[in-house]
This record gives sequence, structure tokens and C-alpha cells, in this order.
Amino acid sequence: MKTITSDDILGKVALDTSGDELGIVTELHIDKENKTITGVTIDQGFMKPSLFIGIKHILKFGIDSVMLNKVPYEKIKGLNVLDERGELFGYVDEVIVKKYKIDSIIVSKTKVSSKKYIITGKDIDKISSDVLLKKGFKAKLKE
Amino acid sequence: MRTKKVEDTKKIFSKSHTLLNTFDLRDFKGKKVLAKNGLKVGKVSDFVIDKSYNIVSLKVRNWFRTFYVDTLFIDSLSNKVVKLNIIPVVTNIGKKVFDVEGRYVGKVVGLVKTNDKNEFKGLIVKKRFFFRGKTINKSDIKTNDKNIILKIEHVN
Repeated sequence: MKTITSDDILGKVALDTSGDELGIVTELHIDKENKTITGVTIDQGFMKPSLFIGIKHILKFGIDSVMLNKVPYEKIKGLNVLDERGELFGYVDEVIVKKYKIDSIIVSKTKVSSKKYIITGKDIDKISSDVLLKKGFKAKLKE
Repeated sequence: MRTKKVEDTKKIFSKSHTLLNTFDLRDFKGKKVLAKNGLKVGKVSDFVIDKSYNIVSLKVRNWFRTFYVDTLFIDSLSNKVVKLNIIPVVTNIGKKVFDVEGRYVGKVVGLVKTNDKNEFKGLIVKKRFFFRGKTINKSDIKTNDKNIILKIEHVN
């Protein structure tokens, strides 16, 4: 049986399914009673919150990286939201997930604005370094 | 974009043209160029005009890298952005490459291309600056998004 130690996990870069580097694995969480690994904590960098990833979302403890089997929705927060022409609409403030899918996103026009809009997941075309909206998307003002 | 009709006395044309919904080339310089997936690929630095005075391509600059994009690949134009309908293959340069075992293979430093089209046959990857570059075939690539993950194990 091939085994690894915590040294083979801690300090490694965490990659999601798109190959994006999420951060560095800094903590390993172990269930005290069952003595099993429950997940890892990823340090996303300066001024960014740490991310806990459950063991079910870890695809592999690789040689130089820890590979996940999903794209964490939390990383979408703060991304630019662009319309179909590529013009900036706003910034992602919050991501609402239902049944493991993005149900909608809450977008603020500026980083300090209190005016927020709700855009449903159906109006999202692509999510990569920015969130691209589909043509004719509808943005509902959040009360 | 020009939205007001230009007076006839100010125009010298072979055919009648209102000049409505037209741009000045100067307005384009410095505009952000976005790929199909929204990724910023650079800024418009210049235009290429052929002997028949047709604009054949944009010259796009991204830090120290310059490349030319055919005007046929322009999807839309707005006040601040030029959006393309392709993801230029040059955007692969600089991406990190990991193999299926999570092993770091290196960074993409070049592309293996056989023509001028937006296609590549392989990637040239280097782990460190003074190391020799390795070629990775396109068929060995599993995921190509923010970084590249291979389908196979790549032992150095």
C-alpha cells in the first residue's frame, strides 16, 4: 500500500479542474474519532480568506500539487462581470448555489456601491478570469 | 463611434457616404482586446494596412509580446473594448503545465505551429530558464484553461 505523509501535502499548490492555482495547502484536517482526513485548508494569498476543501472534492494528492475535482464557487467572488460586448457591468459580490450549481450571482456596479443586481445562472455565458454574460441578459435590482 | 452626420462640404469621396457608425483609427489605439472567453489578451497598439489600403489586421501588444490578429476575428467593438471571436493560441504562452499526477512540468515558452492559423500542434515547455525546452503534443492535453493539465504522466 502506497502511503504519503503530511509533508507530501502541506505547502503544495492546489489546482482546480481548470488548472487555476487556488493557493497553497496550509492545513490538513483530521477527524479525531475516525482518524481520517476530512479536508484541507488553502491559503489563497494576501487579504484573501482561506478556503476549506472537503476530502470529497480532492481528486488526487499529486507529486507537486493537490488536484481538486471541482471549481470552487468562492473564487468567483470579486471577478469582473462583462456584458456580451466585453464592457464592464460590475463585480461579483456573492454567489448563490443551489443543488451544486450556480443559481444566481449578486453583482455590484462598483466595488463600494450599495446598489446590487441579481443575475440568474441562465444569463451567464462563461466563467474564466471574468464572468461573461449572455446577450440580452436581465439584471434585477436587489431590494 | 461617430453618430452625427458629417457636413457634405467637409467630405471628399468618390461615392456618397454619411460616415455614420464609423470610427477613427486613433480611437482604437490603446483599447483592450478580449478573447472569446473574456480573457484580456492585450491592447491595440497599431493597425496593418495592405497595398490596397485595406486594414488587414490589428497589432496587439501584451507587455513584451506583440502579435497580429486578422480583422475577420473581431466580434464586436465598443468604446473601450475590442472583442474577438477566437481565443488566440498565443495566450497559451506563460501558462503552467502539470501532468496527470500533479507533477509540475514547466511553463509554456513557445508554440509548435505549421501555419499562420489560430492552431498549434504542440507546446514548448521549460521548467527553468536555462533548461532545455520540451515539446508537449496537443493530443496529450486534457485541460487548457487558466493553466494546462496533461492526460499523461510526464517524467523528467
